[in-house]
Amino acid sequence: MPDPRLRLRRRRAGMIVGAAISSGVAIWAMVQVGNPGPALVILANAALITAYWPRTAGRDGFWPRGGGRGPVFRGHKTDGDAGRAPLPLRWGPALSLASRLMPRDPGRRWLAEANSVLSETDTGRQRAAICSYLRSAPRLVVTMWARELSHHARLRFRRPG
Amino acid sequence: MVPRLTVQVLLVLQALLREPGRELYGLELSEETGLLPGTAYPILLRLEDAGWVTSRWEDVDPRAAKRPPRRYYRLTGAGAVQASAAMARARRPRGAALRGLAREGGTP
Repeated sequence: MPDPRLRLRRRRAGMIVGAAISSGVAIWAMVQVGNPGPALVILANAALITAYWPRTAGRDGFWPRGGGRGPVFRGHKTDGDAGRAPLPLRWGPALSLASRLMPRDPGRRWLAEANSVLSETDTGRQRAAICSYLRSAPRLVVTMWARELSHHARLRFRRPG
Repeated sequence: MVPRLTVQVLLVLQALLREPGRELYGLELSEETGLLPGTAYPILLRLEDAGWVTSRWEDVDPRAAKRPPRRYYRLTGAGAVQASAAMARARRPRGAALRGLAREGGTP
């Protein structure tokens, strides 16, 4: 199992390199075409780095606990690296992103359960398992939001007495 | 609310019914049913919504166990009764299937 600090540094470096490349291409496109549209790519990069900046203290996100203004910018609670087997670097963020599309509590539960199962899955079968989680995610997002909205609607329209 | 009883749902119910009091976690369930864990999760969620299944997080220190806590699932009392009935219904051959077999056998 690689050193968690090394993993963290690699994730941060990957994030910075990815953002630098795509922002560079966006700036180049803006200069060439003269259209401010690619500026959106730069803003998206900034938002992604802010939301997903890997931390060790059990919460990903750029700002420490309690900071930020919205659900995304407040960061996402994780169980840190405690006992977690390393997930393939490409897929960990994908699962995290999918969980953010779900309502907060069910999303966290889904991610925690996925991490729990994947940490005990053989390396050979991990990829198939991760793909199965990602494949079922869109349907779960819809189901969970529908359930959440119907729950809120029931609460709102329930007549007293 | 009765969940839709697809083949996958029946596989999950069958695994849970083997020992109704026993708790199974995601990976065990996936191994017993042959379903991928990502496929089993929405099924368990639906069964939990229907009140057939209950779940809990394992009470374990992740650092000591060197793994994250598991989520355990088991059938509720009512769930076990309804699941057994559903399994019995699923095993019963359907009329259309019987007619199909009869046609294959040459019986009018």
